[in-house]
Amino acid sequence: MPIKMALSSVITTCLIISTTACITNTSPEVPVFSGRYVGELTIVEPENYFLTNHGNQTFNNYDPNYEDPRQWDDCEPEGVPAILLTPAVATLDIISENKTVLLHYERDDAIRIVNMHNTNSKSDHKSVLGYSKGRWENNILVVETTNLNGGVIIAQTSYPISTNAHVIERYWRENGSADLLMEVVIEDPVNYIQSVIIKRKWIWAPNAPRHPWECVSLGPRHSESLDIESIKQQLEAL
Amino acid sequence: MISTIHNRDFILKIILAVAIYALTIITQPAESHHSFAQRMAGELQSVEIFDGYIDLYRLLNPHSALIVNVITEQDEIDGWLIELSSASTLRREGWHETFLQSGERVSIAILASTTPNRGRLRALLVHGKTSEEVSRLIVAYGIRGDTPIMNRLQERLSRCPGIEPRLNRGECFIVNSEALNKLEDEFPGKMGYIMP
Repeated sequence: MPIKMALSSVITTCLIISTTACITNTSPEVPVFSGRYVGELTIVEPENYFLTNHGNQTFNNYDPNYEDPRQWDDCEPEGVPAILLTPAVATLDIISENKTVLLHYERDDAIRIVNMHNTNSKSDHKSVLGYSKGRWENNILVVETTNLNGGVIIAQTSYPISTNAHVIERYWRENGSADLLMEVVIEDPVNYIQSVIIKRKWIWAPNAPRHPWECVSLGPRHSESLDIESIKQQLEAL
Repeated sequence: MISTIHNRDFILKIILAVAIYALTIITQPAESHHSFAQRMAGELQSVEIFDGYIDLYRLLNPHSALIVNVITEQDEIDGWLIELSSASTLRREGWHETFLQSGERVSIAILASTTPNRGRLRALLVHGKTSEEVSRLIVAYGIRGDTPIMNRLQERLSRCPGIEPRLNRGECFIVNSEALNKLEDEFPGKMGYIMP
């Protein structure tokens, strides 16, 4: 947690410095996407998800009302790619540096560190956010993520994603706008016979407030009758 | 000879049919959202409506909370925990810590959870303190967005000041007694105006 707080503080400082120059390139090779964005509510999903037999079986056996970990604990963190696609209105702060790009989401106060330097590096550790390395392809920021915990692609749906999935995000700007277009390509041969492609726009919003996440779990959604007085006391104590 | 060709055609057709069948099994498309709607249908259709008083309201992530005390037919108090959208979302829409206050009389429609006294907010009518004071109708899960119920309300009611409609999520409408009477006449039943 102290590391996370320190990172948050660094990010806030970086944002203040970088926001003013966010649309201007600092080097001729790559654009600088640093700054604050708010995700559009609408995401563009494929018309069909072409599932393998295994994927179809997993899809049919998954009930998001019971198997989504957040049905039992609201503060279970969202993973990649779900956190990129969450419909909640929330900010994303991007800090571009030489060796890393930091992606800081309001949701869960999650911080992804994208390794831009040593792209041959590997990690065996699996986590909800996975291991990300990135590169610039002309003016497109490409982030490749592996080592994911798996689960579902979008929260509260049943489309599975395996621990072997490879998620490729591409971010770019168009027509002089500071908004970022995002394309997420999910390669997961265990579950899908072709890549799943989902798109979303992140609106440039340098003045948008960022609210602390400070997650509070209201408890499991499937339980015996709630002790309302006890919940009231907990909430009053916050 | 003719018989052989027919047999060969027949065998080729069988092979083709088997191949197509195998392909459809391997590549079963699943249409987006359908699974969610079907799985949630039971919950979404289970709307419960009651009258009560706000006991506690908190803006929280990932779900804000409302505790409503319902007066039962036996004159007992039945406490309910109602989930709202995240504080991040609601604050951007213009909600604040005193947007709802304890003691306010409400009529509330919820999407019932499997937990007996828990649900998600579908609609909340916050009654004015006097007959002259306007009420507020807040609509959320199952109504928000471009839905027939939202369109119906937008055509008939004005928005609460200070609430940002651009996000196209929840909505807050001003309802005076005349508008409420009209809605109740046009859409009979308990809170019929927010029902399909």
